[in-house]
Amino acid sequence: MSSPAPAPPPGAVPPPAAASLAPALPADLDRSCRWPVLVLGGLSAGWLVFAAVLGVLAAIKLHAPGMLANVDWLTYGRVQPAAWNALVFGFGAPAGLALALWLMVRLSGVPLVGTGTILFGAAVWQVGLKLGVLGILAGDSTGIEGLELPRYASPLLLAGYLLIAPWALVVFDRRQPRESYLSQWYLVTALLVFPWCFASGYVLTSFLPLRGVLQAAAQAWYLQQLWVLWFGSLTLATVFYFLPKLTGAAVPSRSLALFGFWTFVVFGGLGGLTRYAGGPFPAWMLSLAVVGNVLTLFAVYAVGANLLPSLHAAVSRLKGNVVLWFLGFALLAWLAASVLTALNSLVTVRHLTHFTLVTPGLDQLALLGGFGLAALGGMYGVVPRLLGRDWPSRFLATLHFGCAAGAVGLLAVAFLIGGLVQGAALNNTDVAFLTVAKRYLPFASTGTLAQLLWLVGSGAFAVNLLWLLVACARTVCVPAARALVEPLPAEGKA
Amino acid sequence: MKPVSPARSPAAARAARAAGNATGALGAPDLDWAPPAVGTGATTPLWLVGLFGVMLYWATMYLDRNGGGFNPLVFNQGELLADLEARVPRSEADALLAQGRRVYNVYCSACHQPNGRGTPNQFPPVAGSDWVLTEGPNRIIRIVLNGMQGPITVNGNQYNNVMLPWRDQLSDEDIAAVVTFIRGNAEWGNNAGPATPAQVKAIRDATASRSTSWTAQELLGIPVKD
Repeated sequence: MSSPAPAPPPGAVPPPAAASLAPALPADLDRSCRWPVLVLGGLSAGWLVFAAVLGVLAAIKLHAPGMLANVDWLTYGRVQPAAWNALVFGFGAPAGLALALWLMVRLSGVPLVGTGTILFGAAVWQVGLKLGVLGILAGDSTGIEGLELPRYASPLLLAGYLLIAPWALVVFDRRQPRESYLSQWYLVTALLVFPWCFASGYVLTSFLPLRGVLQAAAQAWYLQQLWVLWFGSLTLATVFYFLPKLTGAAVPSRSLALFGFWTFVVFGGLGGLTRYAGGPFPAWMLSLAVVGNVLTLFAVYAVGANLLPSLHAAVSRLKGNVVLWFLGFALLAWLAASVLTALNSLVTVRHLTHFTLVTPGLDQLALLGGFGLAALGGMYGVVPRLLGRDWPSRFLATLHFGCAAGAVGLLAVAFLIGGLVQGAALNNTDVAFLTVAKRYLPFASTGTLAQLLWLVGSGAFAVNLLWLLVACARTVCVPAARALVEPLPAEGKA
Repeated sequence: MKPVSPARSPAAARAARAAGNATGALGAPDLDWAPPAVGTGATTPLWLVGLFGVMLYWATMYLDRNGGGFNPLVFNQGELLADLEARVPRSEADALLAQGRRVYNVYCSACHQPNGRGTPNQFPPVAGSDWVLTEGPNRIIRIVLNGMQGPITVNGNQYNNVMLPWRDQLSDEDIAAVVTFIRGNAEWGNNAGPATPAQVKAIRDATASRSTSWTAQELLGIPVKD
């Protein structure tokens, strides 16, 4: 088959002649990573819906504890961690990896290598996660927040990851323009941070557990790496690519971006222990966490200043551009979550917000609003380019954005206000604890409403994706089947 | 979109996409290969660098004030190891004293008073008392174990009341601690030597058959020291 475009080398030595120009066409780059990205993305969409269903169940139990209380497998202590793990490791990590592979290939101008290994890694990851989530539902959870996967599941996830992620780094190493783009910095950070924090977190709590409260310190550190350096980096990598690319507005300053990146990497991971402010930890751990969270604001400012022109340019192009909606919202959510997290680490504010809904509210704002919407927006942008076919239903995509943005907004507002009300009541010794609990109920039911909205949106996304895949399969399979059927009689006649 | 198969051959599709006719995603223009443009002219603004310096200074001050000198033993923000040592006993003797203070406050201070001066005519003092500051603790261990009743002369003053026995309530260690605390309490001006749980156990065993309280007369017959 003759190809009109200059064929890219199959992954080995790049042609020296093409160094000044684009070494490979976007279509060839897309083709090299089509299967890994589609498989990882498609699986993550399935988990997104599954996690949303479990999330609704868990949210309902917060204000109607009697529902399904007699079913062992669906008690709050199992459904909640199962939902969390399904969302973070079922949707978040594979979707992040899919985008990381695609972005890395695009920005490096080199086709993806190791496709078979990546697909095998995805399978290993899926087996591990299914075992893990089933194990949690069956009661095998380790009981440590964020590290609930049982011992027989967590090593499989790490193995799967190690079969997938290094190929993105290989592509980065072979990149054609030697100067790297901002998204690549954040991607490399994310790709290196995950195995480090995941392995340390599980080893120090499940396999060679630390003694006493040190376990909690390791867990807080792990959550911070996962939240800020892994999901935060993936969010920023995606937003930094798509927003300027889609709007055509340049990122104003490379040096400011460098400043922002390094402050992010150095200080972003230090803030974990604010989660346990006032707990029995050496004073330096808590103080360092406060300092880290406050100094991360410099990174937040740098990101905001560098993406503001794109966001501004995006305003005029928002009409009908769903990808931009998702990414613009993700950027705003990430900025808001980072600023609020820094505020929340100050001792005076913690005095009011500790042990309230504010903590889960901020977690949800960063995970669903920041990373979630960025990853989904990325999917909306990437999948049609891989398949050469636009999304079948604009309505479903619009519905998804409306539901997802509404869910995140509702969840954030309800949990932040609810947390402040709860904190003020908890600090008032004249208010009985039962009264505090009753004041919390309306906010918890609002949380359920938000989770339902998120579920509807996720369902719309999954249906849209399935529709697209089926349509593509038909355009590929129908002619192929016809070709299989038709030539035969012709041959028979001849 | 119902394409006929020849137009959908990979080569044709690739050509179409390479020509820029690829499908946009819900209104998004096609993305070419080049990364987004980044301005290289602008430097990081000076005020930001200055503010960063100021905040780094704040960070070091904050850590200095609240970090406990990075000592793993300091858990309260704002404390240093020295504050901690002043608050928490370090040696075993200090620990015994601290335990003795707790026992004294619970069981003894109601009669002998928190300042150890007792109540005139009823409860004798333990602060500066000639019965307490003997060379050895043999007699007051017995008093704590079995209690005491009847007249007693302390520092030349007469007292007459009943002290309860604590044999069943207090362990050897508690009694050793409270006797050590009473005898060595520098706040009261006492500076006699400590008692050990082993001493208390020996006396407890030796007087196991005794069911009545001691009288001053009986106790004066017992040597203060083994």
